[in-house]
Amino acid sequence: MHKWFVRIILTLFILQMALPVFGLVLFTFEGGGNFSVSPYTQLFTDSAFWSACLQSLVISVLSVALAIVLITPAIWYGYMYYPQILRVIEGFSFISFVIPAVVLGLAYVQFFSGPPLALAGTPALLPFAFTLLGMPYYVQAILNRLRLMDAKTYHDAARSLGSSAWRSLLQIQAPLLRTGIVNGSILVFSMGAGEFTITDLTTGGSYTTLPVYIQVAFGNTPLEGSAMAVFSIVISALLVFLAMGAFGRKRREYQ
Amino acid sequence: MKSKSMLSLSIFIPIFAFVALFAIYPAIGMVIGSFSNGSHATLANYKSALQGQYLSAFATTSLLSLEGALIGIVGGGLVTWALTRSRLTWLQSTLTAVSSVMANFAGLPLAVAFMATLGTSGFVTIVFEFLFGKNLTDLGFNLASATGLMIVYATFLVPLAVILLLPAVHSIRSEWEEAVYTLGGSIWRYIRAVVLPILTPSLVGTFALLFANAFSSYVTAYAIAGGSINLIPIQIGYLIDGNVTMNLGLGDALAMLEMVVLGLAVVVFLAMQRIAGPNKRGGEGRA
Repeated sequence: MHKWFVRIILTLFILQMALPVFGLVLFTFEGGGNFSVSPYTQLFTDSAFWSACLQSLVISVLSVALAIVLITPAIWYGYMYYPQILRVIEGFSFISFVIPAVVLGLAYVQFFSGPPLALAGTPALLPFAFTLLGMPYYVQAILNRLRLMDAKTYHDAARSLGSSAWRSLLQIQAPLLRTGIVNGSILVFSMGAGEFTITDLTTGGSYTTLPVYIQVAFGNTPLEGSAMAVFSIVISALLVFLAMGAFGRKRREYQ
Repeated sequence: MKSKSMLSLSIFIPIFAFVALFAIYPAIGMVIGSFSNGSHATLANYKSALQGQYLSAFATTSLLSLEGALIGIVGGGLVTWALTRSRLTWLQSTLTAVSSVMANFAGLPLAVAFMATLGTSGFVTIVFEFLFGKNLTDLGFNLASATGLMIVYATFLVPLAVILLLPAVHSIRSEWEEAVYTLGGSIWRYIRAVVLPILTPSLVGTFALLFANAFSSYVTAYAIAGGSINLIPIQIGYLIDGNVTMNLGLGDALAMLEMVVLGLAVVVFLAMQRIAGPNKRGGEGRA
């Protein structure tokens, strides 16, 4: 009975997740009345689609770079020497749960629209916004890794052999932290690649990322819009499995 | 030595500058904006934010978010338990990965997916009519309703709960269950005396985070329910989209009130995480 209960729950869960995705996929193939792959061929020959992908890629990569440079050294150093400061940063990292996207967008439009920071209306704010949104996940990815790898012992060894703190970070800790950085980066990347509200509000629709283009396409050509949505689900699934792969390697290293 | 430690503290400057400029500065700006009518200080924004349609929007949003969080925690709890009980490791890791994808499946794509599934000509609707000869709409189902919205929300809240609860549920050893039975305890005794005390902090924390997540859903809610359900994020959206005459002060006040609610939920989440301890924290796999 126990066993059947487990099976029923898992089956219902799989159905719950699969049905809407299946509905979306079915719609792209049959929305026009007959079976057709034309939404996809249209999509892949649409140059605006590819340029939207490129714009998303650029912004997401910038967000990842920003997260790596801004967050990694501070988390690492706090973990080593200043646990109280680390706690403060960890607390701040959850600020994006408190400020929802529509509110952050509203705030950015109001307070970055005049000198000295006239950034609203341009995509310049987006990497900062996405880094802020991804911060809780990035911080946890780095912290998980630090806790797992016993970073302190390595650092103390390097220091006692006369290495500087920076040298220890760059030459010893960074390679050890790599899986944490990769994991965190994938989380920040998919955050940025899927964000719509802030992008739309702060750029006023002037910068077309993939989610913005999906929104536009749903209005004009719903089938192509749905095909794009399927495409972006596939991409984010690939990213997550990539992250799981990185996580799997990390485990093997320690067994 | 003192100057050296000052120097080493400078490693924290970029992150604090970043948070100050891109989170705290706009937040303070909104506090000031919410108390201003453009030229001088006023409480009028909060007065209008706490009456009429806005007050009822707060009530509706809170109620729906509580419902969503409850569905998420019960569903997610059962699924997490089933996952740890199933001996298939590939199934566990695949479903965890899929959960991270689904926890982020939101916005217009999710709304359209549901229209294609449970909408008037959605495939489940059609299959249901074919099998049972009854139309879901005739049975009173409407996707653009509170019930419809809950079904849509569950699609990302349940997987999110799974990701957040998994580490805590994993930390419960099956030997403990056997120990309870060996000592003559029942399954209910096991749940009450072992499982609940271990899981309570994670369950409360996850509930708070699910509530916050549902409360701040904007695009999904708007696409599914449009104007038919009165929600706070939608009201804020109206105020800045210009559908109503642009009223930034009122928008700021609504945003401030929403942030107080979300802030409370996040404080509960963080406090519970601290109690649960580092081994049982969740969220690692969330994309």
